[in-house]
Amino acid sequence: MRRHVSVVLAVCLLLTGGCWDRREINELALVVAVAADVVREKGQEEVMLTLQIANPVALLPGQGGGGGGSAAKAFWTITGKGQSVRDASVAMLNKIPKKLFYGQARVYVIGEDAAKSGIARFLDRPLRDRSTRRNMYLAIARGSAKQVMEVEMPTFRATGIAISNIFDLEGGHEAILPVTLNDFVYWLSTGSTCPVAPAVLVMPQTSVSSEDLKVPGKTPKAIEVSGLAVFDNKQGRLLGFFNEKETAGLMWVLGKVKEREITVPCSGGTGKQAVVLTVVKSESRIVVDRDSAGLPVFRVKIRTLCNLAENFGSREEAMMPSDLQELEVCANSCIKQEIMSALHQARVWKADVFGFGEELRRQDPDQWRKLAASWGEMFPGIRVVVETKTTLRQRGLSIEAPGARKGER
Amino acid sequence: MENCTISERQLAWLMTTALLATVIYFVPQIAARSVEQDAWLTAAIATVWGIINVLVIMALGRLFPGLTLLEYIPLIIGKPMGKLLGALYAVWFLLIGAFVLRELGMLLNIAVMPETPTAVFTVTGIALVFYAIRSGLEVWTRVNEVLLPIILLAIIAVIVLPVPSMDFRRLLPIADHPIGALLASSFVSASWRGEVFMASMFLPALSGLQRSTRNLVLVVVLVGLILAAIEVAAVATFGGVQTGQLELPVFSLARMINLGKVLDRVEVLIVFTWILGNFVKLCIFMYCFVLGTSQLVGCKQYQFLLFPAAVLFVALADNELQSVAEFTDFLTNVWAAYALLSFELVIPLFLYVVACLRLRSKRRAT
Repeated sequence: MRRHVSVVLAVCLLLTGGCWDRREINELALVVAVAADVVREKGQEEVMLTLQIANPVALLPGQGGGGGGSAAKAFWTITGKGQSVRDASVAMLNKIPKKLFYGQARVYVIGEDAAKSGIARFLDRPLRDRSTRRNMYLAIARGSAKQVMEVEMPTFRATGIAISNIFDLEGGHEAILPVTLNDFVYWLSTGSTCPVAPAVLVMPQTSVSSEDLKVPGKTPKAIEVSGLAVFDNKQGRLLGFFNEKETAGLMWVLGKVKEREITVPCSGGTGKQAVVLTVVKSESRIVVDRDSAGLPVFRVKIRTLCNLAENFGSREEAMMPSDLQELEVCANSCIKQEIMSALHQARVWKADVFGFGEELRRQDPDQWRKLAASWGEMFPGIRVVVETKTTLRQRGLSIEAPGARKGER
Repeated sequence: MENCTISERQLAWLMTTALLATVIYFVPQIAARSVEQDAWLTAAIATVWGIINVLVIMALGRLFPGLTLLEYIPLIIGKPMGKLLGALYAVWFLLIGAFVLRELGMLLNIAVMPETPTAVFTVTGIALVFYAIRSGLEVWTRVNEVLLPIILLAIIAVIVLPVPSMDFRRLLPIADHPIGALLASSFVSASWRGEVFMASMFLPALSGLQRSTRNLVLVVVLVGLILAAIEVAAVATFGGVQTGQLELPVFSLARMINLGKVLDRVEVLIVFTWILGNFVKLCIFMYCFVLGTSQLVGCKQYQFLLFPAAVLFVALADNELQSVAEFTDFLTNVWAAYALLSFELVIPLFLYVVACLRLRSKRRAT
């Protein structure tokens, strides 16, 4: 008897697995990107949320796009308005025949107006929700975020996926600094560091195929990640945008440069000769000292390892040790310039994007306690010394530039 | 009285699960809230209190071999007072046990299945515990031997795998908080470590007492190391301030794991540890409660108490506290006073002193 009862119970267990929180994949609308804007309607400020929902069929290789003329759309966007982020997402529920699922959302794009009004309140929802992740990327749209969501890119289709791919693959290259929600709220939580987030803009596609030209009045658009949005450290209000040079300068200090090119004008040659160096590795360290008046001095020490990538010009010298040293000096001053330009702009905004305040707290907590209250005001006046040390390791597979001859030097 | 015996090693493993099971969920948050990046220091200081606790409880156990805590309390401070204190201890096992049960349901609600009623988790949990304890002490201590390695492996994975997103400079400056704040915070952390005093309910079931002191000290140190490692990992990932603002830092930590875009979404590891760990911990509390109560009223058996106890656990788990906010508030402000500073360390210490004095005067009299 006992055995019979236990068998029946065991079968019941199999049948009742997961009743309340059950979710079926075909009932889910997979959100790949979320965008938030602020819109004014009848004098009232409202949050406009735009979701980019993937069409799983079109994302599979060999399907959707291959059919010819009427390819399945890779994604669709939907907007909703409300008083808050959550409110806005609820407002679109009656338009979506599936359950919204944010677990695959990779980027959170916030519009310029929303960023100006203070970004912190927009971050509460994704951090509180258990389906979104703290390592989701954050990006700031120049203009409205909705626009970014609506761009259909030729090969990548969904901009959400495209942006996150740029961050995954190109992060640390050139002036692309990927920022996750976790990074952003960490900066915000220090109370002294001003958070930054990469800026995304919509621009006309540079090379247009003849296919695209057949559709009149519709130039294809693409997106571009360029520069950084800089925020204050209170509510996260947008202060302005760093251009690429300033972004690069900040990335040196944060030690986020993974691989990038430094183009140095070569001193020895005639006019506009460019030599391109590839950064292989870069380390940064901030050392805090006190000057004679007892005020902090920040020594930013950057060490980079480079390889010679290209010698574009008529310079015919071999890349001998002395030439390499000359290039190292050029690279040093180039890095220094980039950092100084970022520092200059940060001083104008009184925005400590480098985390100097945090570094002072770490290295000299007593001093920090005295200065913490007035840090924002003090920041533009602090002394920063940049020390760079570049090492050039390899020169590639050739020594001289093509056409160079021995003895003509 | 229990006839079966467990080995000293089994007791050590049992206590490891008990100390580890719930401490890793809420303590990183509570510690980081008060001392930010120094959270791991409080875990280290708490180890000292834990070691003292082990020494006291084992000294008491040696004075009264073959007796459990609730049996020798009346021998130390007299029958009426002893029974009263014993009853308070039984209530302690019940209340805190119900907390552990509530935690099991609450954590699953917060992190995995928000729509499922908590009662589903608490009732199925207690049913399992009921079954385990009815099968006897030997059985569920052996179950623990199977479960603990899984729990430890999962926890180690959660500490090690998010390393790419950590910045260890966020731990600086070290010891930047006043010693008073560090000590106060260490009492909270040590209140979980102090649960090692429940070993006193198991000592008569041991085959010997030769290595238990050393074993339990090692257990306390091991749990301290793991907790400190978790706090270091959480602070390095989120920063001190942010760690204090997370409901479940360990869970958030597991969600940060993303190795080469391949290994991610492994927070189920944490769900493993808390279902398995809370189950064993609940067994320990339930066992202490039914054994203690039966000894209090002078019964030889405790099985008949299991069903009413299970009902009480479920009822209390649902009603002790309203919200998770009240829960963490209790753990932050009340728990240390109710646990380490009274039932766990201070009362046993007092009992030990009284017992020693009485023994000495008795020896003098004879």
